[in-house]
Amino acid sequence: MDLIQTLLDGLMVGGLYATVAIGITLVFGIMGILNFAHGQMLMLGAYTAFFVVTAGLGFWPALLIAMIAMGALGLLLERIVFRFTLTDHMQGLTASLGLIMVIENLAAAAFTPDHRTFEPPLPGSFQLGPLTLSSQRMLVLALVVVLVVACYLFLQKTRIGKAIRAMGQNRTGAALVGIQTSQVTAVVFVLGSAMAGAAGVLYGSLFAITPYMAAAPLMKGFILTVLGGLGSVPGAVLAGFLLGVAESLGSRYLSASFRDGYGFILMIIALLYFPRGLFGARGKVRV
Amino acid sequence: MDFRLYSSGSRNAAIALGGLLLAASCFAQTIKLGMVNSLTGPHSSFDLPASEGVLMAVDEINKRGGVTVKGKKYILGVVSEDAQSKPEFAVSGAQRLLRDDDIKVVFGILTSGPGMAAATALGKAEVLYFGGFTLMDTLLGKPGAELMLRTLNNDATVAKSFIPTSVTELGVKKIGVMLPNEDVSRSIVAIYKPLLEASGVQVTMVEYFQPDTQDFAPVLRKFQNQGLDGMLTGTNDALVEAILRQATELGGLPRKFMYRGGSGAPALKNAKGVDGFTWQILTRDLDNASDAKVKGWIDAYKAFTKKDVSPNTYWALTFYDTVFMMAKAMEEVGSTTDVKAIAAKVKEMKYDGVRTMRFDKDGRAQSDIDIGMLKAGKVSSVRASAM
Amino acid sequence: MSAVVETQAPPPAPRAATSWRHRVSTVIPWAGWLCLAVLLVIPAAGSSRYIVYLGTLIALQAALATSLNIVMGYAGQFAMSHAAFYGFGAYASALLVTSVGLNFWVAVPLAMLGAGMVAALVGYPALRYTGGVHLALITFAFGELARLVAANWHSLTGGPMGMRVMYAPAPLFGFGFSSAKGLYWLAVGMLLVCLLVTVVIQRSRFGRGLVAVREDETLASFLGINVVGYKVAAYVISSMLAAMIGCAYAPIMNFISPDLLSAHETISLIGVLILGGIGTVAGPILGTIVFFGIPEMLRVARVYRLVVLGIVIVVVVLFMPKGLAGVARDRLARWRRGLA
Repeated sequence: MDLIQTLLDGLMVGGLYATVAIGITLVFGIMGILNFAHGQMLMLGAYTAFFVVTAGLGFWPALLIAMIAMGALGLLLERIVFRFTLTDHMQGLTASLGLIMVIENLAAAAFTPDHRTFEPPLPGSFQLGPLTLSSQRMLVLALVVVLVVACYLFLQKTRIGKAIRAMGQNRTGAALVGIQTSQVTAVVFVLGSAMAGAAGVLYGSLFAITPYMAAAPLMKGFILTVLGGLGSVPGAVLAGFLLGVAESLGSRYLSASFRDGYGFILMIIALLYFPRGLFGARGKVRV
Repeated sequence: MDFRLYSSGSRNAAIALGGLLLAASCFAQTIKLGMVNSLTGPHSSFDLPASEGVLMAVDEINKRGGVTVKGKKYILGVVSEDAQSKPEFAVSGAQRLLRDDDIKVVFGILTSGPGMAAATALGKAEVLYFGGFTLMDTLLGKPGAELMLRTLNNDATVAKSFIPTSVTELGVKKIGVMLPNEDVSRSIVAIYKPLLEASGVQVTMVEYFQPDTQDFAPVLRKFQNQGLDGMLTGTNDALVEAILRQATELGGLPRKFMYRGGSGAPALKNAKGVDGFTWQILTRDLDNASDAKVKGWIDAYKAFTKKDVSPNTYWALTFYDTVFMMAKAMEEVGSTTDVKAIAAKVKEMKYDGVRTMRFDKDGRAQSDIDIGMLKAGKVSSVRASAM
Repeated sequence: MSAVVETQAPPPAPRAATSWRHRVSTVIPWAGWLCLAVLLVIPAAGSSRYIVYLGTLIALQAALATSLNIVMGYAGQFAMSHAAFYGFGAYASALLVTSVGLNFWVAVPLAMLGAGMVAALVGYPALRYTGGVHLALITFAFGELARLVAANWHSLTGGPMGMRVMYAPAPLFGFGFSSAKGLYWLAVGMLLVCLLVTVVIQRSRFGRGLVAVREDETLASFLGINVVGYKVAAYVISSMLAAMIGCAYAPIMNFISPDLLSAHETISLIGVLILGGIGTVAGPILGTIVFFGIPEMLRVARVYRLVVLGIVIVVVVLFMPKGLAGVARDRLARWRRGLA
């Protein structure tokens, strides 16, 4: 029983990580930029939800508003910053570092570092046979799966989705067949940021919201991006669930203090032995 | 959205103070007080109210005419540094204060990380330092620490009244302990466990979790179905709130909690899942103020900072009374610069301010505390003596 | 009839117009060194405790930035573990001095050696691949892992609350280091060592090879440069220097906290480097002065200090990617040629 509950927890947490990782891996796959500021969308999404819910509008509108707002913010950042760093990836990375400082500290000044929480739509727990399950956690798990599947379908079935994947494979080639690369990069940012915003709302429904909350999910997002293969969405998702389960089992049965460490160890091992990740979408040149 | 600069209250106060200084500078000299606090960062929830308390006290003293030492009038001024919740900045803030030779007294810091670092720097200089962080206790009583005073009771003192009261009120027999993996936690366990056992309670489990944990499920599951009827947990509001919330979500966990530190906010926010909750208020309970002095202080606080009372406001009383004690000591000793004499005088004093303040010879505070309780949905508090 | 090809004597080289610019511009680096020397002496000559302390902090940060410059600026590799080695040096030397009882000056090389070995272990697999991302991620993860270990290994490191350090380095060649000024010179010494290493590398074959690797790895390997070896060497050197500086941190601050190893610190360092100009000798120092100068000057905007810094970083990255020193150097080169 305990094992099943721990596994479910792991899946839920892993799903949250995966939602964040999708944005990172997409942006990296298309633009080659490792966007460190991605986590800030999660944080801002959580705050958006907090303000919307405490204003009385409810959880579901909050989710929608947060996704839209974060998508817009992602678009804005792409237009004013990342567009100019397409040629130099390290520039993009550095710019994103600067953005972290700006966003995180503005948020800390505006919102104060006090933690916030809001009432989840499904508080308490329910019984499923011999299991006692937390209602909200199960809801989050369900939502995460919905989001990931929706994203996957978007990438597979829609025209823009195919354009994104084409760009991920070969940017010049994609431009040659008439894909508007600047439009696609904008869409990728919007999509990734909206996903991060949604993840933020879900995080906020379970855990505390602070201006510094982005650091941990961001790191996990990077780990997943690497484990799953840079640029591969299914890889990131699978890696996410795996990581979540590993963390959950590790904290439950081994040491709880070292929780974050498991992920890092996994990542380092993966980078050493599976450099192309689980679904390595981009080959790496060995020199 | 109200774009609140959370230091605006202190800024207004500083401007007011500045104006006062300007006006009064023709007539009185200024005693400069140093203040180093975490005004930003995660620890600001403790330090920011504490800094407001100091500014409030200074403002009141100046309004009533300042400090009169040997017939000369002095007004108080405050120089404030931000420790940013980080040890390095606490040290550099302390250093910046120390460069000003006029600053002989420093207030600040309620958290041990930045606090230990700053105390090391301040200890090397000849300044009177009033601090609040837990590990300061390990510095007091040793040679070289005569000029250091901690204005909050230490765990050993607090626990002596907290544990018996909690055990009686909650009626627990078998508990588990869940604390963040920090040095402070180990000292908590070392002090509280024997006291619990002496009160007839079995302590069957002690678990430490990573201090920045968000998801407590894995740790909480260790406590499930163990036959426990209560838990001892800590050490700040954010953590305990999350723990309580997730405990109620998971089910199968005890519903009575003893909270080392903080406020009743965690229980109030999770009232449905909690049968009993006690916590320590190291200064005064502001939410259920029956005391006229406390009520008066609350009004003064609201007027001074233009802010409402929040669950963490009671930290503002950390240094509030001590500022008055310092002023009184200066007047009685007849000097604003002889820190050794002032320190000795403060240690002798018994001061009945909003808190009843007394220090022992090592600089440890022995004031009474309030023990907050939430039982069957009702919030109350009990005053416990420090002795 | 044989044609006689007349060869005209080449026109006399125009010496008047360009040579004075040339002469002036070759003097400028020396002027820079002179400025640095003056700056370094100021705290020691003055009597303000605070200036000495600030100078010590700046010297430490500048040394850190300079050492990071070797792997990031010259080799072009994004090493995010710099702060972790800094902290490693601090903890290692503190433990060696307090628990094992070694002399400070023996502990420093030992700590550096340990750091070097760890860096080689971590760097080699990471650097087998081209593209900065692999290294960035592995070093980032390693840094955070190191921080977690430091925060959790209570018995060794004192846990999240950190370690108090109460010793001072033993006197060397009769020069005492236990006073504030002595510690200041320790920090300056570290800075000078890093600068020396940078200059030596810059002028050596190794350095030129590094720049080649930075510009184009495939081409560099065609030229016979052992790309992986060079990259790992740069990373190891950088990390060992970081550990060396960390050894100075402990007696200066009297306190080591696991947060010293966090990624945030490395990010600030990278910001400083970018601002000052990577791949230049003066860049890290310029960047550090501005980074520390801004918060001091903008005391009013204390709360927004980091926001301003972040904006500065973004702006610099977008509009002045070569950083302050890089722009200065380019301007100088153009001026010398008689343009701008």
